[in-house]
Amino acid sequence: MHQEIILAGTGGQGIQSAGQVLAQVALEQGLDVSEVSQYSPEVRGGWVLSTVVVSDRRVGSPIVQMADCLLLMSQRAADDNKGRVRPGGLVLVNSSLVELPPIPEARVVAVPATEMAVELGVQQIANMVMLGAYCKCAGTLDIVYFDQALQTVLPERHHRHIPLNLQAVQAGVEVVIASGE
Amino acid sequence: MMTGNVATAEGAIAAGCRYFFGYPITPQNDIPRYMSEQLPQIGGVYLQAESELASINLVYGAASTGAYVMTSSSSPGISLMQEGLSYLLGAELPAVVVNMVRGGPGLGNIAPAQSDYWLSTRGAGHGDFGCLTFTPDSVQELYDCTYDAFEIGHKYRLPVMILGDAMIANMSEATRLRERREPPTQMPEWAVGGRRNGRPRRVVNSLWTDVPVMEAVNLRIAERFRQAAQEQTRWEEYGDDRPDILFTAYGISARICKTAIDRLADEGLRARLLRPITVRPFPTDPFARWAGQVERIVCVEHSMGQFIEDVRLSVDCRPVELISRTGGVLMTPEEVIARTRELIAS
Repeated sequence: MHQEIILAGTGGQGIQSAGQVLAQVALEQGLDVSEVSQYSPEVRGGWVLSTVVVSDRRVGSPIVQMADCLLLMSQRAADDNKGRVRPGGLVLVNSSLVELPPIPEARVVAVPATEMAVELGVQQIANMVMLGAYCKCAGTLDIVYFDQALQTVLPERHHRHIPLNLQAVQAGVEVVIASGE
Repeated sequence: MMTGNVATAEGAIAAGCRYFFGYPITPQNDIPRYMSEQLPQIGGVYLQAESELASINLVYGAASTGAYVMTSSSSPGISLMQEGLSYLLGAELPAVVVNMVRGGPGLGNIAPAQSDYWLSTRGAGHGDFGCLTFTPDSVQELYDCTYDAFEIGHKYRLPVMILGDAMIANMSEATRLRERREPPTQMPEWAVGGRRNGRPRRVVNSLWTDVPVMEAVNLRIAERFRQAAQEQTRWEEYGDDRPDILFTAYGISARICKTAIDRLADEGLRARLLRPITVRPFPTDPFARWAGQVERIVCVEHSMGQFIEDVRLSVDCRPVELISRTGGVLMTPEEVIARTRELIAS
């Protein structure tokens, strides 16, 4: 198993956190992983990317140019990165904020992540909705590891929010099931 | 999971380093950030200096007391530290200097590069020799090399350079940590720190106007370097046991090569990677061993052809081909594979 994932969004959407949580989930599952975050210099509203390589062997190159899976959280992220998926790959789009780009040869799944997060109580957990949807669609990572992963990645002062984050992951799984994708 | 920068800083603390002096520069700011948070809590000293010159000279002062001392910077900052590094070498003082290399020359950019190979292995200031230099290729190895660097530096009384890049500095990987060690309590016999019990005066100095004395100092440093070469040279080999192509690369380039080699193997091409973990001392023996057994030797580096010089000196005059990018551009494994195919076809 080898999968390369790009998470792309805008500053404040929790892209780096999501990348770290996803990487930690893979690690908890016994896989090797390498995660790299990049961001533009703007204080607010800049682009943020997290690339994650997950493998059942030792990860060689951590550099991801073309991904097996794209998670697009904002319109700018979608415009800038929609071409970075391999043929036959998976694209998850935060349809609350992004107009679905036509991507030939890829499986595009719409997840109204921001709206769902607001319904759950706080829009900041849209990133976890997307991760839940990713796990369901890709089938490589098991959501049972999110609890432990969140405890490891989040600073202790945020641990009281873990149940809400887990709810968001579950909601992401369910929206994919409901859509029949 | 931690970033390469944090692993480097934690590796130093675990080794017993309690003194850090530095000046901020991207892409290594997480090292001073982590040190500034941790060191005051464990009785150490974190000091942000007014410049890189001040940092390296603070390192010189602290190192002369025999303590485990570190500074870190990135390419332009290391340029500024050259004078201090030479003085450390001349005064036979051990210290650990981390360089998370970025694109250059000049102020360049903050993207990953390997263009400071010459600076580390030829340069590190004026004079007749250089630092010991480690070239880790993973977060775990950054931690391990930094952990080892203090003891090794003290054993041979040489500064040790950790040569990373913006990519390995900022990527996150699983890292197995050791228990934090206390700093050494025994003062080395050369260290200064106030005269005690009427012992003879000790002087830390790099000024030797008496010419034969300067030569004697250089000869004894060279002898310690020769010993370090015998005992501390490190490398890794990866891939096919009967290769047609021998790739050689260090740091991030080696990681890219490992993936390229796996994919070439799927296409039926037999390749092996020889990866120096120390580039000074350079692992010449395994190069000499493989040179006669392969059809071609390919050097992959993110500089215009610096590392390749040491490779050429180690392969008994066999031709070595170069695959490189520069200025902060990173190659993908696909690019390495495509350019390897071009070499084979030409």
